[in-house]
Amino acid sequence: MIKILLIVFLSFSLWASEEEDCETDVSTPAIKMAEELAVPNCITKNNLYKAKSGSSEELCQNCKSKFEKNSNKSIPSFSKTKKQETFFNSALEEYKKLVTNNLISTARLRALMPTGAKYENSLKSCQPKTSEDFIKGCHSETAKKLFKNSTLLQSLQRETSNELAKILSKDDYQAPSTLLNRSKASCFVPEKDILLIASSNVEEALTPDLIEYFKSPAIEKLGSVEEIFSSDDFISKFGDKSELRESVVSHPLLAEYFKSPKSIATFFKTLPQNASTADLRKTLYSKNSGELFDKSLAESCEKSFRALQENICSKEFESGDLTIDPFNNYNKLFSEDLKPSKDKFATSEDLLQKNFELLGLCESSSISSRNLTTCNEVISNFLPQRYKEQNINSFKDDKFATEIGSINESICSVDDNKCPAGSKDISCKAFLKYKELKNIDSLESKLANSSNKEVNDLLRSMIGDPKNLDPKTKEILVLQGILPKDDGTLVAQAEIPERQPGYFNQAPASQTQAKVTTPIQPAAASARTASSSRSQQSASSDSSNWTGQPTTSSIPDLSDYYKNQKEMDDIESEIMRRLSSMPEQKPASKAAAKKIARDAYAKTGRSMPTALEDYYANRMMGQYNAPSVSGSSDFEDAANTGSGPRREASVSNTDSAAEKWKKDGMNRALADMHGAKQAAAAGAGRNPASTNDDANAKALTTVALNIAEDPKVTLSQSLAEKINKNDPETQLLQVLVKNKSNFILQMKSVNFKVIFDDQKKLRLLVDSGDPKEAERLRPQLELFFKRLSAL
Amino acid sequence: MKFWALTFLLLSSQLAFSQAEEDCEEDGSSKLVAAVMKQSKAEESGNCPDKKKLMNMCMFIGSRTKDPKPVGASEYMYYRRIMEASCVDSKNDSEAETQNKIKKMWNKLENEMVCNSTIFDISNGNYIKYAVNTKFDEFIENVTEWKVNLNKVDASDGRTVLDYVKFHMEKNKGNTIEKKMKYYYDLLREAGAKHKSEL
Repeated sequence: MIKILLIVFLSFSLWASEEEDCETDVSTPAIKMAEELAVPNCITKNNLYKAKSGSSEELCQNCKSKFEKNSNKSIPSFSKTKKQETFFNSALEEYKKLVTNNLISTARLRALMPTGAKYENSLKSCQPKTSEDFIKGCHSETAKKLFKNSTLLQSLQRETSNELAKILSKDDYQAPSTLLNRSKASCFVPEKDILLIASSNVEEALTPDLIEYFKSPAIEKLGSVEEIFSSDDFISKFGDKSELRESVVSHPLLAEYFKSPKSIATFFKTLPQNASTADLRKTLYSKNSGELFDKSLAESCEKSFRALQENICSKEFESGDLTIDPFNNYNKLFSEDLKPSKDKFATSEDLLQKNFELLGLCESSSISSRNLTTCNEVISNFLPQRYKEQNINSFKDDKFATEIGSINESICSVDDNKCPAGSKDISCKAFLKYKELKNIDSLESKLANSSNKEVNDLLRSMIGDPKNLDPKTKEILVLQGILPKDDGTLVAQAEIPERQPGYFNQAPASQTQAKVTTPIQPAAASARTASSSRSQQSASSDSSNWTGQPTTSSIPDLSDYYKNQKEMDDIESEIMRRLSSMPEQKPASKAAAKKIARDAYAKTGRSMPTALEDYYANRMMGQYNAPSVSGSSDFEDAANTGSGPRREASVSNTDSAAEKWKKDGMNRALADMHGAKQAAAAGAGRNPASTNDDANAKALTTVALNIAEDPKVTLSQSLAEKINKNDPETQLLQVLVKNKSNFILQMKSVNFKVIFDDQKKLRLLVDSGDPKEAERLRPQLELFFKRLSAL
Repeated sequence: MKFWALTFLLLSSQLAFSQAEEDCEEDGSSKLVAAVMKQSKAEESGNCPDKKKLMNMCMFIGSRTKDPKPVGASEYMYYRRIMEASCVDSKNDSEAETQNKIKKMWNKLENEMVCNSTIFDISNGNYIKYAVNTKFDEFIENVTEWKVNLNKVDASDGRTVLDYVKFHMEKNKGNTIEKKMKYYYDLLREAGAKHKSEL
């Protein structure tokens, strides 16, 4: 009875005191007594703020003792092991954030112009470390054990491989388990294009006046970049430039320079007087600049790695002399559900429990103890403030949403009606730039439709062991010729021009051809157009060369002119041989090219058909990136010399693809190289696999389509759901269908052979299994593939 | 004996509560008058609200700029600038006065309080939307406490901040952003925010 009354009284008194929202002190002795007796809620905004201002340990102890006293419960201290684990996981998450941030920055360079730097230092330093790397030189046995068993480290490696694979993949393939979590946008714009648009906008925002201002020695004395932008002098000259400051984070190179006033001044001083955007770009994409970026990234990764190792391998860590500092690390230690509240008292069970958990981490420590806040601060030293404050999961979602998702949404939200030419509105600027990507004469288009070799090399070599890859991702990359097949051979790919420093000063022959612009309005429709146009340009190469011009119709069916594959290979090798002896490996004229083709073909004892003569001449002159059925990369290299930069790596015909893969390592760029075999076959009206016999069919990719057995759901609903969900299986099927690749489809008890006939029409043949079941499944599957190819 | 003691305590606390309510009303009204008078003087001088103080606000929000000498209950620069723009005397003004001044400033300058950036998915979106976009809890918590207008419909996207939050909540189903947006949604709803359809 007394207890009940006491509770009623306390609740009433507390309610009364919490209702009070004026500053007058109305605390009567009764209310004061009630407050004294009540269990405090320590998870308040006020406390978190107090902790940040330096009184964290005192706050921890005061809150803990009051909580213990009033709740009549003793909060047990965390065990040494639990403390070590908490410290370890939090510090490792911080390291993961930093490495992710830096790897993404490197990957973003792929959208930009090459600098000539090889980025070897950042590659070495920022590649996710293995547990062995951490264990090396580590004297703490506990730390060694934790590193060895860390799922976080293992997932970092897998996520990095998948992320790089996703970036290198030519379709908009959503690999599972990547470094960033990608949410769906209202419309599809390729990520590479988004990064290009964002970077280009930032470069253009730096006017000559601003550039001159940033050269001023006075700015070096200021404490932060924000101080420059908010100084009276700056405001009087330029007004509010928040937009520039906020946007610069999305530019990988400039973001590095905008980290401190000193680095801003150092960079801008290297620019000429009254520098234009072109001058800025010239300096920004110079070798020196690329190497500085490389150095800076490498330094931050090294520093982060060392800080993590030093803290975790310390004797304090081993002995458990650790300060977890729960108030300061609140966001990272507790889930997003546990928000600080305004409640002064822990009146609910839930709040009591949460306080209990938090205060369990409060423990008085020695002066020499390792402090988690200090440790995390050093590890993530180079991250922007908002990312520093987040835990790893929020960071993975937020980084994508902010730096890529926002621009995507912005482009989706406008159309031609809202954005007439010359619009200054920031969404419109992005939208108009996106439209400009479709103009083949524009710098944007050249960037979007060529490939940054130096960065591709880097990314590809960073994928590391393909075993880390998600199986579906690996399968897609094999199909796209980015990774070798299990037998060591590569699916041959057509070329896409690779940028070299200074590439944009040249005028490639093929760029002088007719202009193709894709109307992209309204935005929602533009997304679809962009998607399909992008697929044409980069995904499968089945209908366009790199200038965006349709080529399929002009590519002859090579099988008509050769008795067999070997004959064709011999002729192409002969052309290759002749070309290689020429200056610049290019004929002087188209007539000369035709002669080379005729002479080579003479070996067959037949006269060369005019169509084939033209075809080879065009290839030699660089007017096609026509794919080779034989996959003779050397020939394509040579043929491409006329239209764009050559690939650095020459691929010997005698080496197996697997050997070439290993040998070339950094020196090959496979990303964005088009599906040559499929494209050639598509152009020639056949697919290599489509003419294959049963023996070859066995080598076809097999895809299992898993449909859950549920009597309440029809087969058609299940298939529609698969398309909506766009799961990895569906994505793989989409790639196969778009590339017109034959494959085996396993569904329930039936194996279908999915082949593309001479008219490139999809045919569904029963390979094995129950014929009745096959007949039931067939019409639904045909519809499913129709929808899939229309996506 | 114990029973009587507790009954006495209960009654006395009730008495204290009603007294507190009365005190509050009285004190609140007199302070409000003083605040209005102070504000009128500042307005007469023509510097209040001080638009200049809102310069670079988007940068302060987006980059979480810290205030080297924090005022009041925030470590961030935006807080100081909002106070200065509203002519709040952080040492002497009561909570009600502060709120009133901020509300007045907000109403007057609302149309100019917009942000643009490549990391923002709308053009000329208001400060609150920008804070939502950059997931700046403190700023959103502050605006709900200041009781400023939460229902501005931005011309560029035709949405209120609640519509904007709802859109992102749905777009990010299943990830941490959805949870964050749900938190903002509840916070803003509780503070009186509405969808455009409810206005």
